[in-house]
Amino acid sequence: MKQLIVLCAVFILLVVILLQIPLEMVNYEKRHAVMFYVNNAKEMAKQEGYYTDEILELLKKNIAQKIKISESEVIISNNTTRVPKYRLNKFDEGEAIYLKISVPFKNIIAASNFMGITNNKGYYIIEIITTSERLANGE
Amino acid sequence: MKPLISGIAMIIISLLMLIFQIDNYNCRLQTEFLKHCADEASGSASLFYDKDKFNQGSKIFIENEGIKVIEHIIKTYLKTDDNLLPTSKSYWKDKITYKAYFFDDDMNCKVYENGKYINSFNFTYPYLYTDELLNYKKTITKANVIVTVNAGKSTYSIFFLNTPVVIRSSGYEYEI
Repeated sequence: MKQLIVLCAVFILLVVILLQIPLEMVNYEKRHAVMFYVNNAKEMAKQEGYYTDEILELLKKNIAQKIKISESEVIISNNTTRVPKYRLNKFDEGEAIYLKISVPFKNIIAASNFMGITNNKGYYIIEIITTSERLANGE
Repeated sequence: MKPLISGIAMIIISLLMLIFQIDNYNCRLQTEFLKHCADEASGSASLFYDKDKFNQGSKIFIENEGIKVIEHIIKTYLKTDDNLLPTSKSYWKDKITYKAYFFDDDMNCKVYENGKYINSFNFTYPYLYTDELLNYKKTITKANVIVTVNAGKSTYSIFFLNTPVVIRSSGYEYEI
């Protein structure tokens, strides 16, 4: 009887740990995809000179589709560059194109209910900058 | 007693495997991000060149501006302070170092390490560049900026593992 109790306890703990392994794989793939989409958006913003509405909408749409959340849950920081920046001959921090994005991950711990964890949510945050390739008018 | 000891051993081994997996995925993501950082640093540095000389048909990079933008990009991407030391928000622990090669159309390459000029050498197109740290080769056929960033050891929680040093390099040339 004692051995059965020990076996059950060990089995339950092992299952919790083993369930976390595939969840980590899935979340890694999702984070990798988010990074890929953000980098693509940055390359587009580099040519446009800023993050246009179209670029941000496409970014949100791609992320939402990939990780199965709604577009409104993807948070774009207010500091994100929304006005055109131009290519200069001198580096100016103010002319850099900035993006900060937070993407919620709703399931980061497997069997969270079983362990009594209520807050099973985390944010994946990416902060990047680039320089503009857009030329000022007349150049 | 024997089943209990075996059970605890199995749980510890599984936990170690899980911790390694989490650390390894983090390391892979940060390595990918470092690659993007090197891409952006070289791409941005190659945007600053002498316009007068460019109108005469040759691209000569403005290295001072290139170095400024490379450092600014490393600071933002890798979350470091002005001395390129990682802050508490950064994944990295060691001081970030970098090397930048400015291959100009005047057939002279200037080499900078951590923002300081170290040497220059003459070359002719096509030039076979060999990276000192990564040993990869790249044929230089036009003006180019190559940036190699060394982010130091990656962060693994399991202390007895020999953690890898992560280095990424990128060269950017614009088709005009």
